[in-house]
Amino acid sequence: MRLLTKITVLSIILLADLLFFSVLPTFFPETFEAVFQMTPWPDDVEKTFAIFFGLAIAVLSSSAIVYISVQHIRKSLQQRVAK
Amino acid sequence: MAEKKPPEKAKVPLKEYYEKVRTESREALLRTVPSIVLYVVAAVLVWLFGRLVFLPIAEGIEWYGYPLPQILNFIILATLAVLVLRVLVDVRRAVGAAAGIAACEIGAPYDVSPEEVGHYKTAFRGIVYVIVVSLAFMLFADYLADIHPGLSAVVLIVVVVWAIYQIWSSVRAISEEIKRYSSEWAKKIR
Repeated sequence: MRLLTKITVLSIILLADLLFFSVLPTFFPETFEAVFQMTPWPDDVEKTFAIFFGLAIAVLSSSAIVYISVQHIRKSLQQRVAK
Repeated sequence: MAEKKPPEKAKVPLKEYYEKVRTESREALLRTVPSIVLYVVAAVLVWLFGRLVFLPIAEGIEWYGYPLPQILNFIILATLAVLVLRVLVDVRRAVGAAAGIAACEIGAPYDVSPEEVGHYKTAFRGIVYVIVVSLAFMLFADYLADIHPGLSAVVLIVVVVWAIYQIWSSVRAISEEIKRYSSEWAKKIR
């Protein structure tokens, strides 16, 4: 997979995650509540798991973006030093 | 019967030592700096996502009787601690490498001793550690205050005392180097 494609896919995942957890509860609280009321389990348990997963996805996807970028910079630096 | 003399330790020529320190330092710096950047950015992101996105929506939610913000606070704090520890390990390596390069660049060409490198290491380490730990404290302060308001203050006092000790040992290492340079300079004047 190309570098740009990887970064784009990870950015879309991060954006979707942040939109769901940041924009939805702030600007559309009813929609946010409705998402959790659709499922049969208690809302608090659902929300807890959703928050844990959301945080993990946000941290992992953003770290992966930084990791890929850093690896790319490191490679180009090593090539420059080797020259 | 003449006693056998113990074999003399093979002295490493100055030029060879200089080249070795220079090459190893450059390689170590290239290896460690990207991972420091990665871990620092990850720590800042964990802090940002936690404080601005996930802690506000966790307000008022209880998980089997425990308040979710406090559980989340603890998880974020543990993650930050792991990331900061990793940063400190890499910073230690990077500082060692930077000290090697500094000793090669600042000193006279090919005149680098292990003692000089050690002094630069102590000086650099002290200064960089104080900066890194102060920045790390800023990441931790809010989360520590959320657990207990006094906890942040206690940690701050410990950090200040430790920073004073680190700066003092850095200054002592730098003064050793200044003393060495000035005595060499005095010898040349005579």
